[in-house]
Parts: sequence; C-alpha cells; structure tokens
Amino acid sequence: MSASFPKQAQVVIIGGGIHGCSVAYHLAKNGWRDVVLLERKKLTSGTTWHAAGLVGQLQGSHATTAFASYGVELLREIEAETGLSPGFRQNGSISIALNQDRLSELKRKADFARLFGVEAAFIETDAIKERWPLMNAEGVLGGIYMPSDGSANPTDLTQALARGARINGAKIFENIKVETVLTSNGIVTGVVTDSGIITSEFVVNCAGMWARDLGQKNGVGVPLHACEHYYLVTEPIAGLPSDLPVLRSYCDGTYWKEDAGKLLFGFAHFHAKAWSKDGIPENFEFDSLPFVEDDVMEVLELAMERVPCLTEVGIRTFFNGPESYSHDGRFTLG
Amino acid sequence: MDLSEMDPARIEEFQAQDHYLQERCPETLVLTYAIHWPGRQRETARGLRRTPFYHAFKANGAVYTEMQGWERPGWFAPEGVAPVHDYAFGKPSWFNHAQTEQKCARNGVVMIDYSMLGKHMVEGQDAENFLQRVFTNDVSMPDGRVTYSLMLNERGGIEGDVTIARHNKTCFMVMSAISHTRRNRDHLQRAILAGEDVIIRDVTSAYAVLALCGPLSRTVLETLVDISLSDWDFPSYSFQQFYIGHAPVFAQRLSFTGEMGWEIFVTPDFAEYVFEQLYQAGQVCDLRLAGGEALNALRIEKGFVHWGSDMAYTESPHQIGLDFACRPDKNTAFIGKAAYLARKAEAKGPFLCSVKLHQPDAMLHHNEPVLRDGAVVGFVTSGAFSALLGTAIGLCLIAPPAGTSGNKELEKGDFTVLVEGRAIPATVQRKAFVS
Ligand SMILES: Cc1cc2nc3c(=O)[nH]c(=O)nc-3n(C[C@H](O)[C@H](O)[C@H](O)COP(=O)(O)OP(=O)(O)OC[C@H]3O[C@@H](n4cnc5c(N)ncnc54)[C@H](O)[C@@H]3O)c2cc1C
Repeated sequence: MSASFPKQAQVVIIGGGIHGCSVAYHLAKNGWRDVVLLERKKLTSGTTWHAAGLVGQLQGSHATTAFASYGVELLREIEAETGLSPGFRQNGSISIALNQDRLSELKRKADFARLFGVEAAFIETDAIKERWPLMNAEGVLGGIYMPSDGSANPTDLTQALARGARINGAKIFENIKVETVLTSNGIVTGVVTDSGIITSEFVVNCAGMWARDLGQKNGVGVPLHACEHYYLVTEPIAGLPSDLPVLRSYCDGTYWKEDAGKLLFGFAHFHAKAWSKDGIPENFEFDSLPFVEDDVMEVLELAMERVPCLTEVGIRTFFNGPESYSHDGRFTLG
Repeated sequence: MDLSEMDPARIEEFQAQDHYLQERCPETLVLTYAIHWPGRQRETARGLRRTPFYHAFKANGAVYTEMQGWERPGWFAPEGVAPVHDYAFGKPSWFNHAQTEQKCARNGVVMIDYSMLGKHMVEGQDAENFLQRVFTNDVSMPDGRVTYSLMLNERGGIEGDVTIARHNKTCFMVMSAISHTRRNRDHLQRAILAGEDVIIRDVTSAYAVLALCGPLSRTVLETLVDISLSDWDFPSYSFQQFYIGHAPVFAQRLSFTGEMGWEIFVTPDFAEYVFEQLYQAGQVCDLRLAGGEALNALRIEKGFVHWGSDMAYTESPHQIGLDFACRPDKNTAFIGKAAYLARKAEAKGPFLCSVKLHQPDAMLHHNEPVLRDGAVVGFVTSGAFSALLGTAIGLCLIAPPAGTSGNKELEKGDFTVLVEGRAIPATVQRKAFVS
C-alpha cells in the first residue's frame, strides 16, 4: 500500500474507463475536494480501449443529445487544457437511407438536431458519392450530413481526462479493486478495497459492465449486461483520404471510419449475444472475445455490397469486445 | 437539465435481475441500428405482468403493448383484422381502428383496462399531515373525495403527479402512472420524517381497474347498480363503494379521457365477472373496448399532461398550467412552496401549450421543433392524431417572444412545426383544443 493511499475522500469513483475519468475530471474541475478514482487494473483496460471512437451527436433524447454536443465542445478544448490530444478529427458524418422509412427517421433526427443548434442537413446521393467514392450508391435514397460529427481516440481522450482530473487535484489509483461499498442506514459511507478502507461521502459506480455485480452487493439493481460487439478493420487501402467522413448505413447494419489508412467498420447485430452470464473473469484486462464467423456473416455480406472494394482488400482484424447495454437503451444516472 | 429518462428509480426490481437482463440487453444492441419507430415495442421478456382482464380483452381483439413489464392493450383489432402492431412514421395499419376507439369515447362509451395504475395506500395517524406536506393540493377534504395533486422538490420543480383518494383521515390511496409507480413510492418513502406514523403499502396488483368512460357511461353503469349516479349523488372527483351485480367494488368518478367516467376498482377474484357484467350491459350502447393509443390522443385533446413527457422535475407548475393543483394557502406548507411561489411570480417560460397542424398528412410523435416566425422556440412533448379534429395535435413547451415575460404573448406570431424537413403551419394556443 502506497504511503499516499487516502483514508478519506469526499467522493470515490469506481472504474477508470472513460466514464470514471470524465466524472473525476468534471467533479475536480468544479471544485470538489478529495476526488479519488480507483481502477482495478489499468485505466481504459475494461471496454474503453477498444471502442471504435465514433463521435455522433444525433441521439435519441434531449439529455443524450445535449451530452453529445457538449462532448464535441470538450474534445475541442481538452488538449489546450491538458496538453494531451484526444485524436479528435471533425470529419463530419453521413447517415444514409435505403428506404423511405429510414429516410423519414433520418429527417426527423435532423429536425431534432435543430433544437440544439447542431448542424444536420439532407444530402443527395450524388453528393454523398462524391464525399465517399468507395460507396456503392445503389439503392441509396439520400442521407443526412452532419459536419460537426467526427471520431476520437478513446484511450487518448481518457488519458487526457485523467490528466485534467489530476491537474485539478483528483487522485487516481490503478491496480486497486473495490470489494464492496460501505453503507449505514442506506447511506454510503465509503468503500472497502484490496488495499484498505476509504471513507467517503459519495461513491460513483462507473464500473461499466462490472457495475451490475458491484451494485448487487449492496442490493442495488443496475440494469446493465455485457453483450458481444464486433468491428472489423481492413488491410491498408491505397489513397484512402484521412478526412473521410464517418459513414453510417443503418439499414446495412454498418458504420465506416478511416483508421490510419485502413477502413474500420462496425456492426449492428441482427442477433446479439449476452456475454459473461456466469460472471466476468477476474483477470479480464485489455481482453477481447473469440471471433465467431457466423455472427458476422450476414452483416459482412451487406458490407461487401455497400463497399465493394472489400472483396479485394483483405480484412486484417476481426474484433469482438464486450460492451454493456441497458434493458431499455437508456443511461442510468442519478 | 431534465435527466428523468435516466433516473435509476424507473427500474423495478425484476428488471435488474440477471435473467431479465440477459434477454433484454442483447435486444437493445440489436435495436441500436434498427429504425426507432414511434412506440416501438420490445419482443423479448414479454407477457410478464398480466392484468385479470388480459385473456378477456385478448379474446376481444386486444393488441398488446408493454410498459414496465405490464401488457396493456394498445388498440383492438376488429373481427377479421390480424392483431399485429406494426409501425410507421405516418399512419400504421391499425390507425383507423384506434381512431374509431377515440370516436366511441367521445360519442358513446368505452372500457379501458386501467389495472396497471400504480396504487399506494398511505396509512397511519399522521397520514393526512404527511400528505399535506408532500403534496401541493389540499387533502383535508371530506372522506370519499379525490383530488389531483403534484409533489414538488425544493426548487419548485414537479417531482410527480398523482390522484389521491381519501378513504378517511388515516387512510388514503395515492395513484400514479404506470411508469412512475416505483419513483413515486421512493419519493414518498423518503419524505417520511422520523417518528411520523405513516406506512406506505403498494397495492397495485391488489385491485384490477376498469375505466368506463364516455357520454353513455352512466347509462351503462346505471343498469347494474343500486346507487344513484347523478351529478348530485356521485359528483366528479368523488368515490363510493357499491355492488356491480354480486361483486363489491369501489369507483371514483373521473377519466383521463376528459369525458364523464368511472374508474372501477375490484379485487382480482371478482374482476372477470365485473368485466362480463359491464361488457354485456354495454352492448345496447355499442360499448367498445379502447386501448392506450386512443387514450393518449384523447388526453392530449384535453390538455392532460404526462409526467416525464410534458413535464419533469425541471418545470414548475406555473409553466404547465397546473397552478390549480397548488394550494399555497392551505394550513400546512407543502415542500417546495416558497420556490414555487417565487418562480410563479417571476413567470419565466417555457410554457406548455397545445399545438395543432394545418395539414392532415403530417404526424406528430415527440420532439418535433416548434417555430415562431421561422425561429425555433420549443418542441412537441407529446403527439397524436386527433379523430375529432382530423389532424395531428400535441402538447409543446415553448418560450414566449423575446423581450416578453409571462405567458400573455405566448400565442403571438406565425407558428410552424418541422416534420421531416417540412415546416407545417400550425396553431399554438394555451387552451386545450377540446374543453
Ligand atoms: C466493438 C466496440 C465498439 C465501440 N465503439 C464505440 C464508438 O465508436 N463510440 C462510442 O462512443 N462508444 C463505442 N463503444 C462503447 C464504449 O467502448 C463504451 O461505452 C465505454 O468504453 C464504456 O466506458 P466505461 O467507463 O463505462 O466502462 P469501462 O471502460 O469498461 O470502465 C470500467 C472500469 O471499471 C473498472 N472496474 C470494474 N470493477 C471495478 C472495481 N470493483 N474496482 C475498481 N475498478 C473496477 C474496470 O477495470 C474498467 O476499467 C464501443 C464498444 C465496443 C465493444
């Protein structure tokens, strides 16, 4: 146990993924004293390190859209504040529709974006083709272009947030696992870790796919469960522009992003699987899950039709990682 | 910021169990790229909570939608129509059936399964004082009366809305919308002071409830009861115990449709019998069963609000037109009174209004931007298609014109609503379209 390991804090944050680091950053910056973040392994080692890094502002609700457009602001400013670049590229995004219903949905989303002053405009198929020459335009009815969307590097962003938190006085400890949360009469009093007890007024559960287990220990139901989630990365593609907008083809079940000269494309799943039904392995750290060909074939075939060059360039990475989803698709906050 | 959609209190115990999550969460992932239809239904973990009327309503064509595990009729498929709940941004295949249900409620009589209504008994020597403190309306009313009330937070924001039935000084029933049952219970439980003699019991599934409503509802009910249902003997916002045939029931006279109506409470053992009695008696008046789709349109026509859609803990009663439910003059000061009065005096917007489109081909669902003279000033909080008006209607939260305060000049300007990129001319008014 290091000498500086605290016995007391105003708030303990459990989990050093992007959420935990963001909470630590924002609390510390807003004047909270004694902000302590505990991570069982290394920062980002849960699910954050492997995120595809898309930054999309077209969200379903007022609160999530407000969060997402604030996120873009933060991405623009965090480097000046911390000296660490989050790898933010504001290349814009294009969502395409292959049928009238999807077009209606996209147009409604663009209407909604107006409420937040987020730019979103209808774009004709020809213009999409110009911005995204690798796309097969067959069946595309048009789309919505959002110039302020983009992508970022989730690991770099998390590290930037962690540094920002430290600059503002937060203490971040890796390799410290929280065993249980202490309560008295239903009120949080602290946490028990494998390196000792910290008493605190507040505890924030940012344990991602571990959050449910952690909550259960205190009889708190957290409606999250990990599911298997894929993306694939191609071999390098000659001449792929680095300012390529993110392309989303919801109907095909794919999103596309330029990633260091390669195309990274990820997945909607027509069938999805819950992962770790019997508990998450104790040693899980920067881990991925076994790739099952059958789970991707349906979407992969649609992907090859939408971006025909896939039939020539090989696929370098088949990535399967866990990500937790809620029972109703909403966040749990409060 | 209103984060009520993310509130942990929306989650019922059964929804945080591993088996439930292992079915539901993968479906969430599948649906992220699926079309986000208005009213999209889940297919996993269905059929969990069924009311005593489930099978009887199903035999009569009920097509079910789900809310907090409850199966509730969305609309009724007439004979020969497949009971399939499909989706559209425009008009789904069942559009006309739900429209017919609306018309029956306004012109005849309908019956709605209301059993999922959240019901909490608040009992104890201090029950009345407790409710006076927690709720904005006055519950020191005569026994047998019912009132609509709000609970506020210390900032004067609306934490929930309920109806409260007074059985006697030490016994009240507090009724909540399905989705907020747990939230409201938690809120009440936390508000009990040390030493206060108040006990809260959840009796949601101890009573099945049928809402009988429409101008002919009295004609139907009269044939089955020994009591007088006249306005004098059974006024609005009162309740009584009586018998329907052989079954003991109690009923309160009110309806979310805004029509004359009774919400009839019956224990599950007598429930199906009571349904049969009412259904048979209703045949001479052409009684129809109605679902949640019709009810939603009917309540929007009347300007009745739904917590979580049309307001949340960020809004103060004066913004939503709910001052009538606040009684700052009553003997006990309610929680949030000072903040409420200050906010009311300040008269800051946005304010809730009713909105009606001038073109019948566009639909309002939720979140469509409302523009005054071409500038965004608010959004639709709830939308539906009104059978009575033949057009899409909604409620909307909008800001008053720049440089004005209060809601006096709210209706000024030329309004449009953005629907799929088109600015549709609209009427925005403070009063509900149907009074
Ligand atoms: C294939 C894939 C692609 C994705 N693409 C995108 C994308 O393009 N854009 C996007 O926005 N999101 C994307 N995501 C989602 C994103 O990865 C997650 O939403 C995000 O990483 C969740 O962060 P978190 O901080 O909640 O969880 P995590 O990063 O998992 O952090 C939780 C942390 O808590 C720690 N922890 C757990 N229990 C304890 C304990 N008891 N004590 C101490 N520490 C503990 C864990 O070790 C872990 O580091 C993607 C996910 C996947 C799988």
